[in-house]
Amino acid sequence: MTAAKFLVVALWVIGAVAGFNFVVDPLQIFHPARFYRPVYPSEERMHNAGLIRSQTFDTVFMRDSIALHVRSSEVDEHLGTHTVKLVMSGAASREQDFVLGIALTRHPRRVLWEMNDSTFVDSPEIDALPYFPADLHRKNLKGMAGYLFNLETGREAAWSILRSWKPLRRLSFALLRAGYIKYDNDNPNELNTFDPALVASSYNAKRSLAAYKFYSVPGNGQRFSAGYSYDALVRNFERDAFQFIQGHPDTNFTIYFPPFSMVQYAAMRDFGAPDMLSTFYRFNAYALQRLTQLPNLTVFDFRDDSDISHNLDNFADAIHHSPAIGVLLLSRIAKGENRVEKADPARSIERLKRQIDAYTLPR
Amino acid sequence: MAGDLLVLGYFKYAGFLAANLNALVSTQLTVNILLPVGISFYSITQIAFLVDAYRGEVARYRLPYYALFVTYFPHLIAGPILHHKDVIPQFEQEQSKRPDPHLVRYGLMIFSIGLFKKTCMADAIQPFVALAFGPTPPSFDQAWIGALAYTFRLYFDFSGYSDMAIGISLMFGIFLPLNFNSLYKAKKHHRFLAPLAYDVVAISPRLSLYPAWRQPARHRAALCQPDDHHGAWWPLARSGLDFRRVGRPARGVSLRQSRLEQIRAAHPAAAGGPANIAAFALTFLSVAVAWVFFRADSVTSAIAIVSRMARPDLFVYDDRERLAAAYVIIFGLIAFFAPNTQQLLGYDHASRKVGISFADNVTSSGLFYTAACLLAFGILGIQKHSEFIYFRF
Repeated sequence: MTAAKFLVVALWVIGAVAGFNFVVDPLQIFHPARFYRPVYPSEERMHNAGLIRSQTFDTVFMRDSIALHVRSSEVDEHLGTHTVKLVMSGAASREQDFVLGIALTRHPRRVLWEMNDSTFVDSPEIDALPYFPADLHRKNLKGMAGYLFNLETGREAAWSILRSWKPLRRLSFALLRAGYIKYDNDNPNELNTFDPALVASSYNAKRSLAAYKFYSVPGNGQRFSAGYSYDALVRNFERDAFQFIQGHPDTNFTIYFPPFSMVQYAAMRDFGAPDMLSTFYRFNAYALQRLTQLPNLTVFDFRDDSDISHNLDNFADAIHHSPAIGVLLLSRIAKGENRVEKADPARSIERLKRQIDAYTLPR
Repeated sequence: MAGDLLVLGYFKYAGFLAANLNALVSTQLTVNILLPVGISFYSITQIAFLVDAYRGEVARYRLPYYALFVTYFPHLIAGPILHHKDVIPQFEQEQSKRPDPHLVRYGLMIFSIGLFKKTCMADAIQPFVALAFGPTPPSFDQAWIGALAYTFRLYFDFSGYSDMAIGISLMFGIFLPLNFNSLYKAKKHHRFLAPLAYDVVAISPRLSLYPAWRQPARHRAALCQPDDHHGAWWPLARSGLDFRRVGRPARGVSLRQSRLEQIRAAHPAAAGGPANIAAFALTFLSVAVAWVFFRADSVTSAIAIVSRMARPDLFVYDDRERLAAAYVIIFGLIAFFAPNTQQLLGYDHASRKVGISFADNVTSSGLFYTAACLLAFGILGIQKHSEFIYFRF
């Protein structure tokens, strides 16, 4: 029993665990699930890496939390596509650009991209983001080693199999609720969707107005305009959106700007930095003008749709619209409504400016 | 000594002083100092060396051995603190300069157990600490489970780091002193500082950092003060005071041998098992409560958590709490009833021996393969964002 034998035994165990992780592959990075019903973690930045490689799709739906609850099947129904949805709550454009770049290696014919100005604020380099598994997305040696030589992967792999065994199903649900295992959804279409029973209590004017009140607290208003500078927005937009789309001429891009509640603009006006709204107008006029120059792109802007933005019951806070609005936007895109025309790209922003100037909060 | 203390004081206290000065008189003073790794350990070991040199108790060591003693890497991050009389003679021995297969093997086994304790036990129970110390006020069960989870998280973290340091050193043929045995079973807290604290603080009246009080008081002071080694941080000072208080309620049922003898004499029927268990439980739970003050972000939140520990009407006990309770119970059983690493592997620092004490080959090969598996799981359990808890001290 020498030290060398000791290390050989340890290496053998490590290899066995890595081999098990590879065979089961709970994230489906290497191959689709073969002998068990796959489950996905609700953590978006993890499951995206697997979804890109395991799903069959011709359209990528990229969005942040604004359009979080729209299902792939709803996109397919309205736009006649076969969609994989890639959500990253709170993602800056640099993250979206990175993940889209990986997804486009699967050569989809179309990208549906929910975009808003705040995603273009400055953000750290992709490898400096502590919560983002960049190497797992890249599928490089470091990322694969971190995935395969990992007890957490092993635990999820084991429970992916064990949960299909009936006597252990109840225990697996208890462990899921306890947070011991994290892969909790066996239907990629339902990832990050919203329980319809909770919609009424989550989307209402009371909550939207509470957001306005939050911004009115000293310090909160300043925080939400921090980093919102015209130069930064333009620089990041050029790199992560314009040049990215220009670099993929064979892919058709559909970008849409979702509506925010008027509460958001009122808060920008009343509590943001003095130049926040003017930066907003300037940047959006610039972005729309630039985007409409691209031949492989169609742009839709819903921010000036007063039927949606003035009805505060459509929102859970200042910016997050309800699932019903998400579906409504898809149907409008399908019909070509709210399209930004190359001849007059800033029209929607000018209309929105007039609405903001005239807007007063309901009492 | 002044030079050592000056350097240590600058690196560990300048930022703390600036922060307090700013809080008191708004000076806007900012001090950004990068703390050199292990500065506490090599400062204190050098002070101990100087004390002995002053008393003429230092042999003529060669400079390379002295430098190696001060900068000996296995212990620099989390201890134990070394004494020159213990370590330098080992450096000088001829057999320490050649790898000893027996020591390498046992060093690997001890290291493996330590790594497993850190990555698969301490890090595994860490998420449940948030039950008590999360953003929302905990319920009764969450407060207790979270506090106990933190208590065991600390134990397995320190125990793991100590094992790793001892294991690495043993591979080089050097026996390091033990940090502690099984801490929550021990009669004194923080044993790994005790030998040095006695030497430096208590024994020399001329160099004493504390007046020549009664020995037990001086001992408590050395063990409980927010000392140089642990750096400057108000929660630490608070918990130091708390630990001094912990002894008081528990003293009536203290585990101290002399007191137990008195109880046994006065109440022969009651002073056996139940009294001992009650004393033990009371002391241990008092320590867990004291950790709340150490871990909490502020005194207010610590008081809020402790007040919830006294509200059994607020009870959640959902799946997460049940799982956390299972972890706490299992970890508690291991901490209290499982043999510790040195017992398992027959590590005897005093006689410079290591080896399984029982001759049973099946048991010894079982331990060998188990330790190899622990090394594998310890490596596989390494997480990117594992917290190095020692920086809180």
